[in-house]
Amino acid sequence: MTAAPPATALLEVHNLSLFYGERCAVQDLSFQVRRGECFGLLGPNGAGKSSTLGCLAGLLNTWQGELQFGGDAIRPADDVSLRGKIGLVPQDLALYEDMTAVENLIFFARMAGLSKAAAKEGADRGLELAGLTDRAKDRVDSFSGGMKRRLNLAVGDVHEPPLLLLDEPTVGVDPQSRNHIFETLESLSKSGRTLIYTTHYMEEVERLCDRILIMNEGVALGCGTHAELATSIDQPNATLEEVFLNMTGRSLRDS
Amino acid sequence: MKLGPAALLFARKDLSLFFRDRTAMLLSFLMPATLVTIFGYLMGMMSSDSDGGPMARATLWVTDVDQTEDSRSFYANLRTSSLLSVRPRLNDDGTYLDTAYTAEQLREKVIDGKVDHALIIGKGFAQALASAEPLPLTMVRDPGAQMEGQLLNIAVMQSLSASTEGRVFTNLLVQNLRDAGMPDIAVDQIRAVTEQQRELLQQSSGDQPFNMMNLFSGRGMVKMEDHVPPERANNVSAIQAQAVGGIAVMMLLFGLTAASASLLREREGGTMRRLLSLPIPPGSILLGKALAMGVIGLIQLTVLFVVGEFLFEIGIWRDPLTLGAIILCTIAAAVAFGLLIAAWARTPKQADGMSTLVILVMSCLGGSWFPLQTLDLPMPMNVAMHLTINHWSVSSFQNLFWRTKSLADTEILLALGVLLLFTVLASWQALRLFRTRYLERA
Repeated sequence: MTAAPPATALLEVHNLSLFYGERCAVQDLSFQVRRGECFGLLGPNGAGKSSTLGCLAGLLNTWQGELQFGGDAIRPADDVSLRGKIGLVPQDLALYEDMTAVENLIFFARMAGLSKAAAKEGADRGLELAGLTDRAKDRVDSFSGGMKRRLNLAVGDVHEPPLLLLDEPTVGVDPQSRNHIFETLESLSKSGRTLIYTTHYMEEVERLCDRILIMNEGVALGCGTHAELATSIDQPNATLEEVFLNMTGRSLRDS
Repeated sequence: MKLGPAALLFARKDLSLFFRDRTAMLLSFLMPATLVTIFGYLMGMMSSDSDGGPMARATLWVTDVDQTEDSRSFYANLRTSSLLSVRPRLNDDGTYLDTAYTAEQLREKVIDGKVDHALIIGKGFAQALASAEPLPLTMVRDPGAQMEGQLLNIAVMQSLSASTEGRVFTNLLVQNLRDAGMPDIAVDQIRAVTEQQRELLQQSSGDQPFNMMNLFSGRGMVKMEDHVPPERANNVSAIQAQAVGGIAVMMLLFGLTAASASLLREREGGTMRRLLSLPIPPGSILLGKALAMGVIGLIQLTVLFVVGEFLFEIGIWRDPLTLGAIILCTIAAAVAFGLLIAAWARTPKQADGMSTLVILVMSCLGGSWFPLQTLDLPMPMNVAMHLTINHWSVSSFQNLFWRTKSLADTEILLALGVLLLFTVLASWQALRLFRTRYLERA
């Protein structure tokens, strides 16, 4: 299913398919993400959300279909400079535990191509974003899970990429850190940044995302606002959870 | 960001993390230095001859039941052997430092496992020596201690021949002739002639104790020529040079393989996904790791050779250019090996297991422990030996330190060429594995 193509699409995905050997992870997936919107990828475990982000971030390169960024066809895994415009906040904590918070931020900022001074600025901004300014010089292995999650997000955004991919950034955090992450993402979104947010938590999507793509087993089941999705299943008053269960079914997902 | 700057940045991060872990860093440098010291001394001790300083000695308990001049002379001679540590020891005033046991007590000690070897100089020793009868010498031993047994036999025979001025050999001939049924009168004549020969030999050797080897070397049957290259340090032995180079290469391989496992930790820790999503060529990650490992390897080898120079004077300042070239080629090959293992393995455990196995086999075959290249090995082992980094590297260090060869020698150039070829092939394979295992399923 394809949403109506917006005039100001930053990212367009056309017929994206990805196979792991014989297994199909993503099949004929198409969607567009507008500049400045927060776009949600919602689906149960094994729906293909992380694989889709992997293709967009340049981590996977065996996909078929077409990706466009700002109207240009792209292949992120082969385009080094393009990867500077797409930031990734991985689901796993991607931090060096033996390094301090500020060292992590500066290292990844420098690797993203920022000068020393810009990296320092980015690190200061990242620390503020993560609420870790007073713990800047502490090693990451001394942080709580929530602090690590916040730093993980700040590191992904340290070079301020136009498009930020967030792969379940609130997994395993306490309500306070979760709220902090939401507020951070809301402020990024308000400042005009484009976000793609994957999760299987309905309330996160409802709070953050302008539009939602519901996926199941690698296939897009519906795309639009909450109201548009509810209307598409002929239940205009349905909650997002009811829409989700209606589209994806009620069987358990263990993969 | 381009390949070079990204790799440098990455290498700096790895080095910063490496030097931050002080315990690991000390272990990386102290453990190899300790091993080099221990092996160097051990090899030096094992290779020294009777004139060459310290020696590995075998312990021999002795009791003299005969108590004659001949038996006491033999006993005293045993104490001078560089192969033996004779018990009971003597104080300066001639009294015993340890308890002196009787023959029966020594037998009980051997049965109890308290003593491995005991020599009993039996009653009638002097009489038997005079009449060319079999000597009443009994070695009571624990058959489990066979290695020392060989050493003891040599030492006892040397002392026996020295204390009797070679008469034991004449007596041995006489006993054989009697056993063969020769009439006593003929045996006595042959004995008299042999004794004259022996006395002549003994006189020609002056004050030196009688030594069978002197019959050959001293009489010109085999002329010995010792050639020491003029620039070689006099006090380094071939086996010490081998031990320093050998252990250095083995520990370098262990150290760098452990460092390369950080590539696997990047994957397991999730940082690899983030790195691969950044605007850097993926090859810069591998290159950065290689640079960091190269710096660590350089420090490690420098520390080890400085220790080798300080303890054994292996001669690291004689030809710094050749030493530098060998070190760099060895490090390059070791880095490539480490990266290959890291790129091949799917988990740190796999990397640990495989690298330990391969490094131990390479070290054994390649001469890091013992100079196997001097042996005539069977064809398959010979081929395997030539496939190891250790062989080419250790032989190059040996050629430099012991044979004082330089880059102008084809042997060293060939070895460096092989190490570089290994570097290229292993790096290429590591990059190929890295692409298939890290990039597609990151």
